[in-house]
Amino acid sequence: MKATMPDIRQWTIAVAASCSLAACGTVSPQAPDAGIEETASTDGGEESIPTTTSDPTIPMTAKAIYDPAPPKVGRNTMKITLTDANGYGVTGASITLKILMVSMGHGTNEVPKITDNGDGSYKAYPVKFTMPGGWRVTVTAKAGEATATAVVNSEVN
Amino acid sequence: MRTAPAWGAAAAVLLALAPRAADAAACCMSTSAFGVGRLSIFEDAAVGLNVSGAPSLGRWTDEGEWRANSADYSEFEARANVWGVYRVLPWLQAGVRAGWVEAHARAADVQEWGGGPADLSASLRFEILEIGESMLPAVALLVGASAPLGRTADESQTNLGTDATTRGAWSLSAGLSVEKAIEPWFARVDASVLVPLPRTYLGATQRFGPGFDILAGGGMEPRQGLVLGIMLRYSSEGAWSLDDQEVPGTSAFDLGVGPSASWKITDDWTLQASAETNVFASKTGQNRFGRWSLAGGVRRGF
Repeated sequence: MKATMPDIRQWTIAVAASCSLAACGTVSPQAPDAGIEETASTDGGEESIPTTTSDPTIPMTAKAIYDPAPPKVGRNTMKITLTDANGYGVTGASITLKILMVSMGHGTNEVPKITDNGDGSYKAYPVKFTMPGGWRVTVTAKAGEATATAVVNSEVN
Repeated sequence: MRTAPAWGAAAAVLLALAPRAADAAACCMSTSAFGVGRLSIFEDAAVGLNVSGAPSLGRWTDEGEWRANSADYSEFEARANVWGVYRVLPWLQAGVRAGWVEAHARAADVQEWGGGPADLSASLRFEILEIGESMLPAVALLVGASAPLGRTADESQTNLGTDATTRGAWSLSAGLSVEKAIEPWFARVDASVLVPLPRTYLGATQRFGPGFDILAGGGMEPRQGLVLGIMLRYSSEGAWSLDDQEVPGTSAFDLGVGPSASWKITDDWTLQASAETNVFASKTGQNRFGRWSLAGGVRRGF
């Protein structure tokens, strides 16, 4: 599975909806679009996924955390968890990450590679932050017709 | 070459070197077209070289809180500029400035050097009232443009972005310079606005916010050829936008203060030195890196 370049229209909406929130690892929910369930996650917290299945007709939830947390300047690993409405892990999803240093208005050129662990969890690496400051990572997952987004704001030192 | 009072040169060379903190954040701030100073009234042209170094000590958040760098992070940016000014007409001077940026950064066990060309800038200075022309302060209108030559942070090929030396947007500038000299004292204020032109970013149109800079300086010439002064700087920038949607919390400002000196070692050659520091406290900046800088240079007048 390979991350693709961000869809800028979605990215624009994400930025406009959530950049007024504090940048220090706070939850940043976006206004959900019809048929899309979105969940934002902070730097910490982890859940066990009961069983792995994939039902593209059921709305999906995305959570993303840094592992280890908190993130640092340089290359970081992000763990992404997708669950359906029944709490089952969703495998085989297509995941993209949009990385933005909000205050400076730029991102990074390196596109993280996504690894599907086969249990509803995914690893994104490298999530690169080139300098200290407030960074936002918007994770967008798509499995069949289901789409979920997690926005993680972090103060990177 | 014309003849004129020597004090006319004081403000001309003193503020020419002002190492703005803006210049010390090549990756993330628009470049003003100004900073080459003006010609003394007896000069037809001048060229110069200056070098500066600026370590970063931390940053201000979008709420203006000062955050010092962590112990395992450091950053240093060095810059060399060459510049020239030419008198096209008695009331019109044209200037150009080009530079190179080298940066070092360290984060935990990663450290790297990187560099590239700084933005290229050109400016015009229209003398409305020349210094010494009357009892009124000298007034000049400034217009300029800068072009991005280097690599943006988005295009950086390194882990810590040290090869990012531009913001990637053209910009236009306009300003006013007012100065007054009463031997041996002088004062000068430069105010300018900067409008970055839009750039394409990930297929969208990104526009950085308009900038406003004011640089006020003053000092004296305690002995022939030696000029000492102090400068205060305020620099601000509006929020950036993407496809005309403004991104809240991205406006920025900072303050700087520092001494400056020039020493005219011959009739044509002048050495310059200056320093600037931000005020490293909360509410004295927003969305900017906090730095101090040292600069030195040499100027040749014709």
